Amino acid sequence: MKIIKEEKGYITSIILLILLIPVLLLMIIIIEEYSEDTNTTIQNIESEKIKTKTEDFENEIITISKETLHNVTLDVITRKKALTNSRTYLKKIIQEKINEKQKKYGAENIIINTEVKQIESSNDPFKIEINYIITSTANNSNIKIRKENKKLIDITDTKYPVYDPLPTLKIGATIKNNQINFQDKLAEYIESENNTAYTNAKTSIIIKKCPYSDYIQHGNNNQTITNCLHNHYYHNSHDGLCLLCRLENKTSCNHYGIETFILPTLEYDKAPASIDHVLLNDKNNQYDGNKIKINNKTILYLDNGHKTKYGL
Amino acid sequence: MNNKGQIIITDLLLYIIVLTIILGLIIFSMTILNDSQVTRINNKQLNNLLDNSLETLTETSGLPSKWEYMDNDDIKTVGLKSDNNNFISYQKLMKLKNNKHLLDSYFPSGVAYELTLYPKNNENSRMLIAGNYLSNQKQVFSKSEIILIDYGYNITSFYKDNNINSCYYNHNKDWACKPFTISKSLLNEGEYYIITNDNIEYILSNTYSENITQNGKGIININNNLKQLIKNENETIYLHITSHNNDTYLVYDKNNMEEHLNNVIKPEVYILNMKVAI
Repeated sequence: MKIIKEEKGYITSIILLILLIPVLLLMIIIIEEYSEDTNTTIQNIESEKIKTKTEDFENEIITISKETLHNVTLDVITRKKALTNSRTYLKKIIQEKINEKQKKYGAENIIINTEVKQIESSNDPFKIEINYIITSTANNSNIKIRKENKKLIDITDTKYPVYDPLPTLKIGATIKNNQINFQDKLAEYIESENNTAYTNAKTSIIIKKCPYSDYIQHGNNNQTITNCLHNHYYHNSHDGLCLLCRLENKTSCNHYGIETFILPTLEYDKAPASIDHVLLNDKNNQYDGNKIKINNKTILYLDNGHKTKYGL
Repeated sequence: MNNKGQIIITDLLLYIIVLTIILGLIIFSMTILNDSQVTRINNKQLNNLLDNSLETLTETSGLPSKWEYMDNDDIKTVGLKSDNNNFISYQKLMKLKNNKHLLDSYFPSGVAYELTLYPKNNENSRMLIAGNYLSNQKQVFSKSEIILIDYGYNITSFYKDNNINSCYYNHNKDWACKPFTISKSLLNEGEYYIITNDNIEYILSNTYSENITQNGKGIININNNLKQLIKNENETIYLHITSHNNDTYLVYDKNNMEEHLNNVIKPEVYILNMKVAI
């Protein structure tokens, strides 16, 4: 072979080069192995971090929604102006607040992107449903989480009380110390006979769920119904309006809604029924109820349907 | 090297030294790849197996849901996380403890495993949950998780909420009053307790103006009191409590686990340890 016979001494360098190749290859394999190990560990930690942060953020969405419902209802009763489309309005406000919060997470190197798809009434009228799509990732990472989820927002959380906008929107009632004082306004709004039964009537402004969940128990004794009336609790009702329709100042609502008693101040044998969706309804949809004397200070006017419902 | 390209003696020496170093490196690398590499891959696989199985156990609830009440053949995956919170379900742990080989399919043949549980402050009272105690194995990998146990109680805290509505006795701020809907069937299937580390006076009242007033501290079983007050299938009962701190709870236990009720106020921290070995 010519290369072996040649006399310029290249054999040494060539053999050295050939020998260096497997060494380099072996070195690369070992380094690769170790770096892959490290990468897997880094990826695991990163994915765990993204997962936890996403779950944290989903909880934040609930808090943001509760806070928004509190602020929006307060704003509506203060301005006495109904929303044209409460679902779109709430969606917009919640989305804005979520975007702000997302920026804070961005500062921690976690990129979260939430799109609020829908705000809707739920089967439980004391809850609002929020649908969203959340995607999250970290800077310089190929791990990405995407999920479509829905959460139910409780509107009776005492930390974020939600206000009933209907009395203020419907008849411009004034609010003082978390109470609505109708003064003459409700009596004037009602066109039926004995409307003066509701002169200076008062009701609560905060939506609170009645604890007597079997409504028929209200009639078991005077203490129970008095306690319910005194606390101005709200009850499930097919005829009542849901919160979202209340914000729009509607008179009827296709969703499962809520109702509360409005306490009359004057005693008659018969007067318009003391239920908010009756008194605050269109004038031709108001109906009368018979007197029920709870105690010396408290009376109610109820139709047969509501009497049976509350066991009175 | 001279100008004719012939090797002189110093070059030859240098060449031999470099050649020896390179050959040494090749032999060294080959040894690593032949011996340690195999072990390392094994180690890596075992570590992954350990990580994944412990993660599946502590972070998932298992399939199908409520697998702890099913026959072993119907169980698809074993996960110990409670369906209600991030604690480990006591019922699931016990199901696994009574069927120690439910996890066998997680591990390839030739790999032994051991899942044990012990209180953080008492390592000696170690309890075997699944697998067999490991002994005489060459390589053992171990990983632990700190856990809290959910005994399946339904717990309601009696914190004093300033926004709380007034009860029908118009109790002042010294009282915490909360209504509960209780059904006859729940009352027959389980036990209601008030758990407190304070001396309390409590009143149970129904919607028929009937009430029962008592004092107590610690774990108080109120089932008989409730039975006296319940007239219908579902009844709203008001529980009025005077308490100077917020450590008072209403607890419903349907699994007959009175002995663990102390955990409601002071949950005991446990360590779940998994070992795999070949």
